[in-house]
Amino acid sequence: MTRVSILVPFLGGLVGFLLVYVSQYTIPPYLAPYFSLAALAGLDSICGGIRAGLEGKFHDDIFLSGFLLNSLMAGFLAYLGDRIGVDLYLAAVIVLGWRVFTNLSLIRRYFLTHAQFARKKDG
Amino acid sequence: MSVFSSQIRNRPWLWQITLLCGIFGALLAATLKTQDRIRGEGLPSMRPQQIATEYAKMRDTVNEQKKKIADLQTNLTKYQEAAAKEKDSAKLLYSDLQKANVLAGLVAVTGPGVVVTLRDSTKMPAKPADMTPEDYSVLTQDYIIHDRDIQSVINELRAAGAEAIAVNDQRVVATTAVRCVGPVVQVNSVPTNGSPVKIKAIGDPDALVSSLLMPNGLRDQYSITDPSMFSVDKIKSMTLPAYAGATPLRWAEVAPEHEAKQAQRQSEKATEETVDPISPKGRSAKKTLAP
Repeated sequence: MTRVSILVPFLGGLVGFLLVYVSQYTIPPYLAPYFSLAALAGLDSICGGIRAGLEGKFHDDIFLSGFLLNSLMAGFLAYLGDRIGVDLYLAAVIVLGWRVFTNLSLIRRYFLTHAQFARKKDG
Repeated sequence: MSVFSSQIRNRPWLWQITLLCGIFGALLAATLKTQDRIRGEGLPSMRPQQIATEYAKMRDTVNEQKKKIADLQTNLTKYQEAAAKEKDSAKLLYSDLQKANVLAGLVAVTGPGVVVTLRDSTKMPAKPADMTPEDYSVLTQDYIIHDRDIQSVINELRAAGAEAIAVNDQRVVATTAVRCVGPVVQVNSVPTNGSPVKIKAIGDPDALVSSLLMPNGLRDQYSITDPSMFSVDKIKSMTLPAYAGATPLRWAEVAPEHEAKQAQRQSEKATEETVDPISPKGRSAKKTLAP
């Protein structure tokens, strides 16, 4: 059952993706690096949200504010880095990427534990 | 479906994740499209700031070198004049040198001639909505001035006896290349205006104009697309600048006398063989040349 419901967010992602991909809209090239960072921040928030939800600690206010602030701050840091000549961009990429991987491993662990649990109950 | 929705009701956070996933998907699609476009247009993935710094640095170096070349050339002229004052033989050499310099485009020259102006057409057809950018660029090709348009004008002017030519005030010399680089035209590797392009030539104004305006000539090529792309004016007196670039020759050297004579003989022989296509001898020569 969990497997079905976990598909809903993927469906949402697909809808958003297709909506923009089919449209004529593109970002001006000089903004492209910042938007890439915002997308990475979005991925981080999604992984964090799924993990919190599975652990039963999900708070919508933390989730939404985290997404907005993280993407804005990542973009701002990259801009600041460009201005002062330091690649702060990389800092955001490393931190966000690391968190994505951590959260993904925790989600994987959750599902594996549950599968094991279910098999024991069956047997 | 009821199982489905009950699952969602048990997990209300899934809705919010779904919403965010939608936003994330949209962001991802936007960046993906932009990156594709950047790659498609051949823009380097370097950040604009880095490119701007590189560009400024290169521009400064080029300007410095240009100043150096101009300084050296004025010095050279001074030395030559000083040498000419001292001896009669040097004077003779100096006048020979001046002639060679005029021919080579290394000094500024004044005289009557024509100005040919080539400009992009303003009557470019609008882009149909269902047309790809590639097809549209093929469609509009004839409405834009390219390097080959400029080259054919230079060729025609020379054939009509032009003695000095300048494209956008860059003197055309033996090593000059004219080519389009994006929206600009590079002449002598100096970026200049892509439209309008002004080609000045010194020579007999009447001969030059009639060579350009003859039926089926260069001007007539633009009569189908837009006649205003091509215009030519006679000028009573104008001055063309000297070639400002460096003139190092690394590969070509003056040939020894016997080799020069041999090359001369070869060129004469080639002329003999092709000069008369009507005579049986000429025809057979042509046949052997055909692939």
